[in-house]
Amino acid sequence: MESIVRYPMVAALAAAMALSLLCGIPALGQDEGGTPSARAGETPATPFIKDGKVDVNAVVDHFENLYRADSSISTAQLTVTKPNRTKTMTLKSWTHGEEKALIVIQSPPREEGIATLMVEDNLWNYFPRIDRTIRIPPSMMQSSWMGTDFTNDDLVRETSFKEDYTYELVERTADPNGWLVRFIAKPATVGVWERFDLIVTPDARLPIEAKYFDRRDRHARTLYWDQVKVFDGRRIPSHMTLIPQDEDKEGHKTEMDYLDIDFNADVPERMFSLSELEQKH
Amino acid sequence: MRHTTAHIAWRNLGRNKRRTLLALGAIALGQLTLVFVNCMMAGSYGQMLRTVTGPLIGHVQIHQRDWREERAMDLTIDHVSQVEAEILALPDVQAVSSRIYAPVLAASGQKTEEPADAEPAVVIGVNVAAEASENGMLYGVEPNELPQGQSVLLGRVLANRLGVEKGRQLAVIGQDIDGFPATNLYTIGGIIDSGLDIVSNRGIVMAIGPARTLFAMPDRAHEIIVHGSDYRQAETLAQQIEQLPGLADAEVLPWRQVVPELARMIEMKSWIDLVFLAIVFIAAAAGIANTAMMSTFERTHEFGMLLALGTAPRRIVAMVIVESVILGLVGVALGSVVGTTLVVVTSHTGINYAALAGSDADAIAYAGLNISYVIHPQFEVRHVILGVMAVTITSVLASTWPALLGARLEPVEAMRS
Repeated sequence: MESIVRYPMVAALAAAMALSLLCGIPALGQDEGGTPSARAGETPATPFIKDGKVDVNAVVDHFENLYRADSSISTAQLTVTKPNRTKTMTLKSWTHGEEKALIVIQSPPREEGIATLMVEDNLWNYFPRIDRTIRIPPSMMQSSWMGTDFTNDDLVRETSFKEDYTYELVERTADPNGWLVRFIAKPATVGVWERFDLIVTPDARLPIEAKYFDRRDRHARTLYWDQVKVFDGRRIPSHMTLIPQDEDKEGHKTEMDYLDIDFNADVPERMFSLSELEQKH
Repeated sequence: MRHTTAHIAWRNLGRNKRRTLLALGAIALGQLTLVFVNCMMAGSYGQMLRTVTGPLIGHVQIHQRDWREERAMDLTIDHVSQVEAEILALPDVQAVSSRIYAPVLAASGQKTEEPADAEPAVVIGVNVAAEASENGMLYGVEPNELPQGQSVLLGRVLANRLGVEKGRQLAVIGQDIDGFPATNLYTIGGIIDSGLDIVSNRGIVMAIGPARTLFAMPDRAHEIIVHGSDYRQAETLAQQIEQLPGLADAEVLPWRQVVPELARMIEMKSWIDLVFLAIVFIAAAAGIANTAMMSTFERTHEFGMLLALGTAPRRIVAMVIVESVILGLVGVALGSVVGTTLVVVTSHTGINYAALAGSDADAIAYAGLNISYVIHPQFEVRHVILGVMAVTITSVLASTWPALLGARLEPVEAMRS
């Protein structure tokens, strides 16, 4: 009866993005939402465009810094679609730095109060129904987080665009309108992704979509970002969709909608402790 | 006349007692080996078969097509109650029981300061009434310990690892069929030792109803186990089940296909039976041929005399053959009596062949099954009959040539020798 758990397609980088979005960190475009959206083929003037081309180093630096954030408090709606069932959960998250986060499910009633604490590489889940906190063992890191298409590993894995990947600007894309930047894992990088193709907006400030390829170069998942909104003075996509490309994951989808993000909120470090985890419900 | 021939033949056997006893011994030993070894193997394989076709595998298993490979929660058989009813309506079906297997984390339900150390476990949701019967996973469990509602049975090894005991609370943390969190607290109604590894090592045995509620899978199951009236008819039963409309998408396997290696081992047994039968044949043939040959040569003079006196050559042939048959029958009877006695005695005491080999293990684990090292030989009369037949045939065949030699002697020449 070995390996009873079927591990879902794993995710490393989506991870970082997911977490950053989940926690409301992204600071893509600090210019308070002033940039007019570019028309197809037009190349807007931004700090990331040089001589009509994306300055890929500047963009990656910019993206790299997206994940360097202070503290935040956010509320999001998570919609998980399965072939025969859809579940919508409301999450409240607190973050502190890059390595500490607390997520509490606020609805629906069946999941209310379930909380996840992340401190560095460790992950604990608290379940009010049994009033127990469980540390997620390494063997479960590739399992789904709360039934979503994200894995536990997605939440804790730290990935650095600069250190873990080599990257290049591939081309200007028409559909969707933007720039394609390809990231290829360095040989020494540990993780489940061989490469990912990221398409950014024509001004190179916001992500549009990313296709992830696993170690066997199979297209395993796609992430989409849209519905740009201004939260706490920052312009970011408020809606993110993750679609696993696995054959047996047909009809599966996880969507995240930000309802509110408070950047640089005062989040004390002591929030990220096991005792707080059990009291947050 | 026949009576006289038999009498003379019997007397002749007494003429060289040592040679007769040696031949008797060889034949008896052959028969003893045949009876004892084959009955011991019958006992051992019977036990193996009972373990195999009993609780874990049953006679026929039904799964969703990919389940055996992937063991994913959502690979289920749907509308189980209807499917079960259809199977039960088939002729020769004795029991049908459905199971759910769900990977979870388990922890002691006692609240502790530190987060719980969770152990990987498997919730096995079972039809308690069916599993408590003779062929079931829960056979032998005290009735008041049987899973019911929020009361569960915990595998011995898992219980030790979690440091919990009967009567304590158990926290189960898993995912329902869609992957959403599924958690609950249960009472440990008992600790179970089982011949099934999965039950002893990781099992949380729960009634299927509460398990279905926990994992949000009403009227679905991962496995249906069917017991017919005879395990040898499993293939036929599987074919009938395959035809059922509700199982178009399912994989229906007779036990032989679930554990092909074991099935092959069990089939090999009939060949091993033959090997021992051959040994008896050879022992009898050698012993009898030798005895008949020697006594014929020794009695050349005597046969010549008999022939000269007008004894029909046919009668000499008959005499030599009857001599051999008596020798064979006495030998085989001796062997049968001793062999049967040994089988009967050891079938009560059991033979622990691990202990014979100096080991203190009491079971061998194979394919998730614990098969006991203690063998209870099982007396099967066919081995005795086969041995008797083999010896009778051999004694006739082996003595024919010496008999013919004796009958064809030229009386004058024979008397001169």
